[in-house]
Amino acid sequence: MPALFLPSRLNELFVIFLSIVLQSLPFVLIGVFASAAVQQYVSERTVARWLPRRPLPVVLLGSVFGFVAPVCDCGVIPFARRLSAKGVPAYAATTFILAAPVVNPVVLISTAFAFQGDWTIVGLRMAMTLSVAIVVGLLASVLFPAVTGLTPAALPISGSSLEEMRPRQDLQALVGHATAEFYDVIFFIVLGALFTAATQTFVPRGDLAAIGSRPVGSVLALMPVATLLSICSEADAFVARAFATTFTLGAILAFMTIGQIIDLRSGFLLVRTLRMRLTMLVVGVSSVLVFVEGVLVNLVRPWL
Amino acid sequence: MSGLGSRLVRGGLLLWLAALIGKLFVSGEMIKYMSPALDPLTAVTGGVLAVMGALELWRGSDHAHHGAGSGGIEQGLTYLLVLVPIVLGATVTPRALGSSALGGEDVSRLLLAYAPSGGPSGGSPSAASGEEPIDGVAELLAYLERVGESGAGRRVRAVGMALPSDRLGVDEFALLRFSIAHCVADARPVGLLVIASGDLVVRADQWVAVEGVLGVREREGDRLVTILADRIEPTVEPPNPCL
Repeated sequence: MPALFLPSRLNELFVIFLSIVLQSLPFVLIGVFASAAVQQYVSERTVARWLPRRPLPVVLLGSVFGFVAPVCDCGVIPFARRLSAKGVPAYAATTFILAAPVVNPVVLISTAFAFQGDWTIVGLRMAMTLSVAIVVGLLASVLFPAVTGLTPAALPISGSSLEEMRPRQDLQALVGHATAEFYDVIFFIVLGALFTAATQTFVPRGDLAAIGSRPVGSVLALMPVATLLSICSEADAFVARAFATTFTLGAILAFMTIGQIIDLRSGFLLVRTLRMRLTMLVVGVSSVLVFVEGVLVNLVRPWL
Repeated sequence: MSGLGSRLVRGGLLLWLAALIGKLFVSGEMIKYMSPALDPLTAVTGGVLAVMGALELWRGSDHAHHGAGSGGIEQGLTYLLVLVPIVLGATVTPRALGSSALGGEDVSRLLLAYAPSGGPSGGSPSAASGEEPIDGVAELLAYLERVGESGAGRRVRAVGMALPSDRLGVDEFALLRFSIAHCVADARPVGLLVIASGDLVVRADQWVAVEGVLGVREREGDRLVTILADRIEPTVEPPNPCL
């Protein structure tokens, strides 16, 4: 096949785009296989039996349940809906939906990897996500205690229907689950890589740097970018890392937190699953909390 | 698209993704995208993708399982988008990032300067002219980190992209390289000031090999790392253009 050389700007766009895709792939694979293993080997009945019934303990447990059920943001909603169908309260399932995509070993390790072993960033990311998930979960338990279950699925969601999530004891089924989930997320990985590469190539660095260095403006600027990019939690740290030279730490953390809660990719599914009132609570509380915490990090950072 | 057809496409795309990774390794192009430190992880990824693709093709008869995605349009878009990196990666020969990757920033603002203290940060100065020249930008950066400004006087050979600027003198240019941690998306520019001893004929983004002596030039309060070049020759892009 004849070699094709691109003009310098297009070459830059292409090289950055493909490098992000290549770097994301291993972590996407880890995520989809971990998720497939949970879908196949952990029954929702067992999970529901271990959950306490009082709001605070169940919300706290839901917030860290991602450690034993490391599903990414793409697989978390079908999984949470299954838990809810087995009697887990809606507010606990909501807490799990918000926390699990970030508060799980795969994503925390990939974040540490992307930021070259900076465990402060890993810890802050986890703390921001937990704070949002717990506050939303507790508010939901007070405001909407009557909501006992999430909206059940009538149709398959993103290739994973309730029927498909029944455990099957063979490697072939595991790979099948992983492949299905891979195709659920890869569209947004590639799209996010294109968007990021285009931003890096065509947006003058001086402009980005000017916005990125402001403690409030940088957070406000990156939060909608995270929502638009809708990058999978296993790979978003690598994209955030690329912004790290021009944006404040608070903005980077806000990017990695809000991007897993409010994104275009799962927005429709979230509304459908949580119902409108609960979704509005999630969107409102998350946006305010992430913004405030991002700015707070920027303000206290000089003293750290 | 039928379940079988969809599964064939999915399996095929996974195999093509794996083949792309293989092609990038075999052609030596992987280094243009990723740090070599990630090669083992990327290689394993290629292997896993190949297994997933092969199994997906093999499972062709099992139509019921997983339904092969959601809506038809979304499915088609996904397949098309996955094709983009595969086709581009297979057909385009990547080149190193150049001045366009500076995003409009003037290179004179990216020139490497000695630490404000000026002295060595540790280690001993080794400016003896009889010593072997430092060969390469990465080695030069490691050396400067060790001895700081007291390394001035040491001979050095370095390869990089020439980048003249209106803010630099007529006999000066920046020798530009990009440093990456993991992949090109996190590339950061490193510029070294080069002062030519004779007439200077270099164009922007031209790869050059520079040989000269390490020195110091004071500019706008910064003490810049400088190569006082006695030889500047055009050269080809090195196999690993990033640091």
